[in-house]
Amino acid sequence: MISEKIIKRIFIACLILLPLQYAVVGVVGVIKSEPWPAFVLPAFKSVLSSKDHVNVNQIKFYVENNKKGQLIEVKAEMLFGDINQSQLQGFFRTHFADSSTVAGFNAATKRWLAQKIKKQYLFKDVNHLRIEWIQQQFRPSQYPKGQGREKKEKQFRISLHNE
Amino acid sequence: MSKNFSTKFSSWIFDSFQISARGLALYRILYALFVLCFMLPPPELYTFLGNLPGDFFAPPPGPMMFFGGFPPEAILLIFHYLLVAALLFLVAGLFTKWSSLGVGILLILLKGFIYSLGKIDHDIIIIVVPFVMAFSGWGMKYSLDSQRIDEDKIEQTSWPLTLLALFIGFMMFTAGFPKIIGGWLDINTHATQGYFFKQYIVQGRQDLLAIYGFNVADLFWELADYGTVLFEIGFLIAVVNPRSTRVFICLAVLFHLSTMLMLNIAFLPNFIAYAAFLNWDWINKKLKNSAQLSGYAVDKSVPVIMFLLAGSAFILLNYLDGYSTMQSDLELSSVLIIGFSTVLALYYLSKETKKLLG
Repeated sequence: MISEKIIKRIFIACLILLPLQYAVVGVVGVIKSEPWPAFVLPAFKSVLSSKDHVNVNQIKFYVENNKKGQLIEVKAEMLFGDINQSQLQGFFRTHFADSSTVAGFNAATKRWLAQKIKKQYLFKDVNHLRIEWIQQQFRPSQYPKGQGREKKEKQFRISLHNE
Repeated sequence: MSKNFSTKFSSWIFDSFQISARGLALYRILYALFVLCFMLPPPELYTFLGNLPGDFFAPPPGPMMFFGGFPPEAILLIFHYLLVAALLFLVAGLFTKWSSLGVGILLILLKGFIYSLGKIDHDIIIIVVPFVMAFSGWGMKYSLDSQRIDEDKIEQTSWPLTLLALFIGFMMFTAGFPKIIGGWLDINTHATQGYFFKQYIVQGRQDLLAIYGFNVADLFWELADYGTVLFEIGFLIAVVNPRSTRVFICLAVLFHLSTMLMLNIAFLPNFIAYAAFLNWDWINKKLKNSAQLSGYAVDKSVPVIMFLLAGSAFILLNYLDGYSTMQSDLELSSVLIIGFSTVLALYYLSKETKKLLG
């Protein structure tokens, strides 16, 4: 049996420790990434809209298979369809953020990507996988009639040749 | 601490949410069945994770960093079936305290591996519930423990519900506070509208009322920004009083309803935590009346009725998911659960409003 005194102390500890862990979560989140487990809910802190526009970032994957640089889009959702929809964008932000992240992929990862694309799209070979981060800008008052303006934020590629 | 404050503090902890051992037991059965039917990761995910290259293992800071990569599928399946076993123990009320803690630990571990893909889904509340309720004596009645252990050795208390309310209130605050810093209250921008566009275009969440999101006035989005921040911050203040806690839980249900209708996000894990604050003693009384009609011993037939009612409803909801025509990842079962919860929330709010108006 837990005495009333101990229970009161548990509550006092929680009242002190919950804000402290929140501060730690904030600091660790800035330095590295959000810890798990942590007593926090999603903040959706960023404001994606300005006075007239809404800016939305999106990733696109293309397969480059010939020297002319012809691109065939491969749907990110199909390539990583086993991942929960709610996690997909976070997965892309973590693993396909920029050229330096993908440059660190080892042979096993490249092989895995190549096999996945070949299986999903019935390609015989995959030379390069091109990744583009697009920023789409919308005027809410004009959407969906007026399509969003697209701006390429960054693009990079991984060689999957012979994988 | 002044004596007055100390008395109020004690009263908040121990008297806020009075509940009987039988009421707690019914919630235990509902929680375990809910997690079994809706919160378990699909086993196919383990095949995917088990075959994923090590470069995609990005453990969040914390205990998952002790692992060097995703474990093989077989290990993940062992954890999965251990979790299923712990949940079945919880339904039956066998070794209840330890099975509650086991459910919490196994959920941390399994979800930790899934979140090592690089994104956390913030469903920690379903883990908080068994950890906190393990000390409530929710296995004291309608359980195999009640036949195995001397009743004097199990303590039934209601302070874990106050602690759960504090956790929910604090976590809501962590969702609201960064929004103030992030600029949600700037009247020149509409943060909710930005997320609506993101969900609609990038995530393909275009079901229910989403299409109408393009036709609403700017004022609606600004009110949504302010309403969200005020609600999330206000929840922490509301937990000082049981009535305001329940009112805010009802407001939370309406908040989730609106995000489901417009953004197609259900956030179902929170609902099982909110369910802890239902009037379980009233539900127990109603089930007892039904049990008496059956002619069997009440203490044996009430949990069976609860199990059959909740279990068959959840299985039916899972079955209906197969007939969903929605294009997004929103499931029909989530829509129906949130719809049902909305009816309950509106009923409670109307009762509270009547009381206020005298």
